[in-house]
Amino acid sequence: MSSNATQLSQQQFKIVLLGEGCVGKTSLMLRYCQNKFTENHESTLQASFLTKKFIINNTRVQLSIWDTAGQERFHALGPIYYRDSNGALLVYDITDPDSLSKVKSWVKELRKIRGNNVVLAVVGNKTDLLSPQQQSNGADNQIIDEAQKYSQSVNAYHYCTSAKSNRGIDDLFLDLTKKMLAQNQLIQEQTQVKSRSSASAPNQRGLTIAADPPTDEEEGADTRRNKCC
Amino acid sequence: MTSLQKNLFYNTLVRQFRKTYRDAIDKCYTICVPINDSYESNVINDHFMSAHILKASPLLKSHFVAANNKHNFDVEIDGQTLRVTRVNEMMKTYLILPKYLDDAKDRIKCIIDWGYENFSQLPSLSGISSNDLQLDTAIETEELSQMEAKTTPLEKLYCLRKTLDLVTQQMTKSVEEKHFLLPVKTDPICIMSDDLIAAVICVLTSVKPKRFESEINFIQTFSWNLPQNNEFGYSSVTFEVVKEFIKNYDINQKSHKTSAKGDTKGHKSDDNSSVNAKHYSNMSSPLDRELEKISKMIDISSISTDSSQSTNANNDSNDDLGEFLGSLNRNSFGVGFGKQY
Repeated sequence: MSSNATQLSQQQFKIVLLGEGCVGKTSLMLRYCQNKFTENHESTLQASFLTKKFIINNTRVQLSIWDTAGQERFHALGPIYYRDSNGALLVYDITDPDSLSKVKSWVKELRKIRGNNVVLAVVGNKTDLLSPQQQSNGADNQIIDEAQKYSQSVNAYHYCTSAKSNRGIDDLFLDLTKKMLAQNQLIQEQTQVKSRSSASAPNQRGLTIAADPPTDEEEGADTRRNKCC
Repeated sequence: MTSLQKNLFYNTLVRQFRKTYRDAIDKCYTICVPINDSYESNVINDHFMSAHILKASPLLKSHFVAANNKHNFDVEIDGQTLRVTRVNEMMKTYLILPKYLDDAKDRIKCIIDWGYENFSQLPSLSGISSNDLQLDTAIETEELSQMEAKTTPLEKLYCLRKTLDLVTQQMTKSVEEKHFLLPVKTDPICIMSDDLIAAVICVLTSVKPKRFESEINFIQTFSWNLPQNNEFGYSSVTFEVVKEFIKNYDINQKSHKTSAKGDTKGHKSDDNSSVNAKHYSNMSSPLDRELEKISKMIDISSISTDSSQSTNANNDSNDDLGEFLGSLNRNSFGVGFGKQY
């Protein structure tokens, strides 16, 4: 048992949750984490920071899900939350096109601040509100179509969920975790390659002394000094 | 949900109201069994029992009425939903005639009284006011004032985290006491970041911790070895957000608006501003000054709200000065606060 435990590597990921009011962020977060808390969950009302632990591909993963202040008045403070985030869930309501526009502005902001270090997941919530036909066809919805195309264009992943009927949520978090693990792996490899290439550079000991060419003033000063001496 | 064998109502009915139970079984009545904890145990009496023994409504399909005809309500069973209504019944079955308006009035009054009696204490999240959120600052004061005496970033951070926990607890208590008086088990209510930030700002305005900005900066600068991706990190970020919000909150715009509103208030506001300028110059940092201003705004706002003899001028100042808390209240406490899952 203990030997198994030692073989597992550990990863911690920070996921920020973004979305306009009433798109179902809270429901999504709680629906996912409630499986863990079950009955004890009712004793606490603090839902702005939740964690979820599980094991995937021999890796012990801990997801910290941070709810961000979504109101317009707190908009400028968003970057404080995004700091060091590994993933972001950008939630929109599949029946509300305005909520998708908001997602687009957040994507821009996240890319500006975190670059490609963050895995973005655009989540269309409330699929239970789709007609049975649309549910079976999947993407037969104008807003979802637009969101999918947009997600592809910004290198984000698109998911459809229903917190109400508990559909697609586990898959969403599992997939996001896999993507974050892959992203981490990639970053690690890139760092290793960099360090290796700098280590294998010939005739260098990791220290370079760069001397600036003398400026006119310095040259003048030198000549003056020479003259004095 | 507990099993029927452990249900208090069912057990009481079977054991103590044996005759009523037998009668209901014999006549194939429908027994509506409330779950445990959805009512006070001392309300179980004959009246309560009979209100839960139903028979099919003679008028409407899927509707039920009390089997003993002594309760004037109608229960509609729609799939798994139970609706208790009296208005619907009247709307569907009552024909208002000119000569019977008094009778209609009496019946409607009766329904309103019944509804008021039974549902006046239903949870009303949108009605939460800033007064309801007056937090018990005594505990938070203790934690926040202790922060100054602590030496290490971890100790200080612990104070912040503890404060957040206490704020959350207080909000929970407030919601439960004032807005969920009915002993009905509801879905958990979740306090999200927007609510938490607004509440922390309110706490800070009353506690006014010394050198708050410096403390936060100190924690952030020297906490590089502390784990950021946990509750401590979240607490630190929440207070940082609060700090930034207070620092960037534009009060001058509001005061400008106030002075531009009318000449009648010109002298008063000038006097205030000179006094305030003197007072604020003694404060230690810009953040402390903003905090003090917001605190004053909230104080004035609450005084004018409490005062029943408020003048027009007071109302104006309430509109302007209470804008900060008012806007938080409308947008955060009013809608977001206590988001129900």
